[in-house]
Amino acid sequence: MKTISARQTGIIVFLTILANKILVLPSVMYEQSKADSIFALIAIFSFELLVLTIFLQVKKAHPDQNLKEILKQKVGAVVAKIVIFAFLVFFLFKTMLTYSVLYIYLKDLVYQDEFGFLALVCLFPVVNHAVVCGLRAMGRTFELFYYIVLVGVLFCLGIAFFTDISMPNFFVASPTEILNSGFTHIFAFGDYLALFLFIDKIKLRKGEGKKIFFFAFVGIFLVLSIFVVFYSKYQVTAFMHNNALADLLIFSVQFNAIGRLDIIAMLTIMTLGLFQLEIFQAAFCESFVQVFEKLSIKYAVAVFDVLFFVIYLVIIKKYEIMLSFATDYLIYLAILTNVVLPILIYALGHKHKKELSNEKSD
Amino acid sequence: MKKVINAIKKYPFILILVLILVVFTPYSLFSPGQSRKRAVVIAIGLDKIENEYEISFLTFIPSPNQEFQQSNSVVSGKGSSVSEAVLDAQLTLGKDIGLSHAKTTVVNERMLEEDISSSLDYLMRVVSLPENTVFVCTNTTAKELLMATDSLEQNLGLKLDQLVSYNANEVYITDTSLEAFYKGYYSPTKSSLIGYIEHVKEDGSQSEQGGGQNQSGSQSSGCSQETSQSTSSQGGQQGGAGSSEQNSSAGSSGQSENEKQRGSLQGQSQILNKGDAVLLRDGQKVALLDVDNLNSINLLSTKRSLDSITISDVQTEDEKNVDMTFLVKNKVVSIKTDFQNNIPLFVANINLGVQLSEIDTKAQKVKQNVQNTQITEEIAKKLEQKIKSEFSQMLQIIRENKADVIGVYDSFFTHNRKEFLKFLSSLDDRENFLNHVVFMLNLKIQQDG
Repeated sequence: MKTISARQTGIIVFLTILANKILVLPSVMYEQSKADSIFALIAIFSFELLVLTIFLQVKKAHPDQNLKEILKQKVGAVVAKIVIFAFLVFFLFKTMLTYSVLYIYLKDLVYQDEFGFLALVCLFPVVNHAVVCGLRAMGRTFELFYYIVLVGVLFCLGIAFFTDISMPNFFVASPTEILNSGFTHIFAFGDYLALFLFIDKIKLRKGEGKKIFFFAFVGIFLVLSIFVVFYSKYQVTAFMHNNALADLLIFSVQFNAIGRLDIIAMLTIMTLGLFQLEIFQAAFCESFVQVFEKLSIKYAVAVFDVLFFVIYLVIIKKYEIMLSFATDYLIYLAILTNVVLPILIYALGHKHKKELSNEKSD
Repeated sequence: MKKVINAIKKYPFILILVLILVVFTPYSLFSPGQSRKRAVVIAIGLDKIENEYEISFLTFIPSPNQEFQQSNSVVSGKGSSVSEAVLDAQLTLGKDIGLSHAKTTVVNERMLEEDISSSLDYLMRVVSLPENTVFVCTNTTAKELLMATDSLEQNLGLKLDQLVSYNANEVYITDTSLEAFYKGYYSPTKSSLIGYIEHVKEDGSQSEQGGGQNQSGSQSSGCSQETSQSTSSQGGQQGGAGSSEQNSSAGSSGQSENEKQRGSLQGQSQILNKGDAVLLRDGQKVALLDVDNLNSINLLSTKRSLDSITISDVQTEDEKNVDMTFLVKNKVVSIKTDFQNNIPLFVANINLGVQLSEIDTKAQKVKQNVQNTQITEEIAKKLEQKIKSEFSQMLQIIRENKADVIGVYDSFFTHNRKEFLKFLSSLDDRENFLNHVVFMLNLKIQQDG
């Protein structure tokens, strides 16, 4: 089996942590809980780090098994399939949300006419090809582009310091408002859960878990920095800016005088968006193959494309509907995948450990 | 052929690539250029005449040539709403409008009689007017100012956004972009500052009536396309022509010499940049601030501004009753907020490093070296009096209009939040909180260097 290294896994975690959080999210969260949204973010990220620990424990206990095999052992084939099916639906809509956010950004900045079909036609052959090539090829590509993406994000952050910024006012929103903003936008989180679906394809040596945590911390640090700098720069008008990372560059009057530096934000966001779509589609295909064992990855890709085109272009139609769908309905699915399932997996693992120790003592 | 089929089988991605090329190459080759479909707008003017909106676009039309050439033209449209007016202008242009390059947004003073944000809303949300556009107000119609701007650029190579950006960097300190306007508008104090550019016509009048005399002649109602000229990059000769035109026109206009120098004349009308600003509250104009008022606002800012202070009737060793002008070269500002007996106290400790730049003596000769003049106690006292008197004038304006543009609310909210919120809740009119704040200005004036 073609596996990916700990470093490549870490980069996947880094890319997924940035997914859906650096463009629209800072703005929509500000509407609900002002700059205190950062506290909601810190709370969710803390939980995500715990889930990452659970993932590493599961990986340690079952180094060569995939998620379906692990779950089958503990809860039976039917429940295992239901759990994986939940992940399948989760990543299908996750891809749609990521695509929507990227589409809004490109529509705002590059092509102001509607070009949904055109974007899909240009984007999806590349994404499909990456998924068919497999996780190792993807991992190597991510490794190659990691520093480029990192420098791009840091550059956007750095430029913001050349304009007027002052710390936003914290402790303005009530705890209920903070919790609410975290709850409403929970579907934008949990992207790294794709690791559970790739679990058998990850090769981890002893002590390499630290590498994954390092990349997770880099990702979390960047997201928090983008939130803080964005709120510091725009403050009360933060709700008007839908492309946080790009807006850190664009609306600095000084830099507009020397040219369009926003091309850097554009390239960074497009690269990030492409990689995130690849990871989410790969996660969908992996769950598809685990649910429908007899079908290959190529069928999974074809099914994904058909479902995506039918649901997105025929039923959802507009990206605004996708965004409201994510905050109104998909939050329940996200609660299941982001909170309930990791706790369930942890509980099962804990039970398994207890049984093993009981067997040993007997 | 077999080899090709085998290669496609092995690498199906080639087929997708070929398909994309087959579909999109003819489409790209036969589709017209973007400049044919979309007009690049570099400045926008918004007027309201009775109940009708008029929107004017200063558009940039690139034309292929051996040397760089561009044509600018002002196109306008009218309608009962801003969206209708935009549509009307688009019909006139025969193109969609692209506002990504719009660097200036001009509104007529009358537009500011009611909340301007409702008029800007459509432009911001639907047609994507960038928030970093410089936002200015004018006394005549915005359309006339745009037309005058076009000629300003041709004659002097000076763009309106550059003119206002200079004000923003050196006079107002805070920028006067649309973003800055919204920051103030959505802040708890609902107050903001925007630039003010005066437009004076041939006879020196500053009337608010339309139908100005421009290079393009009289304006026509409804959709009209006016002032279409070209600018060359090898414009040395044109620059010369511009300045000579400025002199001849200056002689004919009824303005003071000072205003003539500040203003950039073109043809029959001139743009006067006095560095004034409009004080807005709830998106409505509440006062016009002059440079002295703005200097007083900037006094509390840590950034340095173009600030000169003139004091009169100073006694020196050699002369009696001389006028002295000082330039502020250095400034250290420390703001402290506190509550004493439930009274909010706003204390500004300011150290000013000033340099004497000019002495106006009653005698014919200046007997002392200006650069070596020491700041005596009397001079320091006079400077302090002058600064404090201008500060209290500014304070009176912002108190009367309940428009906190000096950051008093923010300072108290940041440093004494609990007490400040309690204080605000004790007031009948929270918006009038500035009247209850005690201001203390501690000045220390020293010779710079």
